[in-house]
Amino acid sequence: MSRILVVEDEQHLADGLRYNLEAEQYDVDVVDNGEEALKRLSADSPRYDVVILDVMLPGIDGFGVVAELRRQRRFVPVLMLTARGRSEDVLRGFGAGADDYLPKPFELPILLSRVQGLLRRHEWFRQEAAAQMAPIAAQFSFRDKSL
Amino acid sequence: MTSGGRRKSVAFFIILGVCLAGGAIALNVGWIIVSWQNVGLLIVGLVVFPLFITGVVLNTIFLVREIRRSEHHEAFINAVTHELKTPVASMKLYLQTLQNRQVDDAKRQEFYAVMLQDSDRLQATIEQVLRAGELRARRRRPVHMAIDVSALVSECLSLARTRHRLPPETLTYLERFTNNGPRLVLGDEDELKAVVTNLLDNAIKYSGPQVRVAVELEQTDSATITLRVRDQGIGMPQSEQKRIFKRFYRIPGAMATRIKGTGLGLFIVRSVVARHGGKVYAESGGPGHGSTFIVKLPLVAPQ
Repeated sequence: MSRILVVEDEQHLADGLRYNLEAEQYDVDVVDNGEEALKRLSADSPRYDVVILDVMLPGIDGFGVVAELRRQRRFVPVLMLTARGRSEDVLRGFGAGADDYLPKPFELPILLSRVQGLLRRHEWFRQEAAAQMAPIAAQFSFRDKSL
Repeated sequence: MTSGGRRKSVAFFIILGVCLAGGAIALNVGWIIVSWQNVGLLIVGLVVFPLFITGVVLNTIFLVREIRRSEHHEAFINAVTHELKTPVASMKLYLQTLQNRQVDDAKRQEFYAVMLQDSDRLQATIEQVLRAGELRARRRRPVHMAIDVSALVSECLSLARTRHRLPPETLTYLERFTNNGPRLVLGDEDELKAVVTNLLDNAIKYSGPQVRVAVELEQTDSATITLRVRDQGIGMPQSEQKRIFKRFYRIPGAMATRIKGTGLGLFIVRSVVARHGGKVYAESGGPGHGSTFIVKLPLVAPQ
């Protein structure tokens, strides 16, 4: 089951997102500020497969959160969700390291499809990496112990 | 990031203004030295150069003020964008959820309640923006009707309690009158309600999780009624106590920026109170020590 972190300080939106994502059989955690999001994402467990990130957050904003994640070389897929829909804001989001960007108000089916898309790519990437690692791991066996 | 860039541009214009003024002063001194023997030229220089210098200084002041204003304006646009789009986004999300999923009855009722709150929030923001625009344009004349302040405050209080779902002891009300009878103020009921509601909403908003707001209505003398709204919230330094009434102005700092708003509430309060011939001001013991907002309005002389 994929695990999703929702970073959103508007209670109603956070609850609505949680309801829908749980209905899609995802594991959902919700936090309402940037500091807490960074703390959750910097920990190795639980590992999140996708982050839905609001921009206008108290404390560190969404741009700050995603920039800090990328600086820490954590490449969890991030979908930014925000009321700021001007192209300079969208570009700033991608510049900070977001993988996708959706202005509010959004269409629920589109949001869910984009989350699916991010998860799919994340999964392919993981399988690809594992497949590339397999022959190397086979080469580096030492007596009966292998890598 | 953008505010940092703008601060730099403000600094640039201040430095440019100072340099130009300095240059003009130097030229003036040079002129005086060169034309020392010629009284006519000397007088021309003494008149023309100070004019230039004054022009440069005034120009710089206005420019800096304009930059500040556009800064507040942009913050306002951002805040309003957020305040308008968030409830719409929420309503749309819940409507599409209801449309696309089998939602059980209890959840359905919960969603309806959420959407109603969102539409209230949206309506409040729209009204706030329209009222501020109206007050600024001064298109509407205040309707001069005699209004019972005590009844008006009580009504706003019970509305605020319902809207913010507060237990009665968190929002207390006290009237201090020496004699009985209605306290009447000449004015516009809607506008005066907006004053009280804005003050109550602010007191609740800036209280943090522990809401303790005390409202007092007192007849200070035969011609004045005083409304005090005291909270135990985040407070503010002395330097902010005047600025907060400016249009679009919002208190800077980590604590206050967590609280959302358009920066119009206190502007509306001040404008309305001024139109009614009253005064409003803020008091605070400093950050963390709560704030008190005091409104003084002239009473109608009893017949």
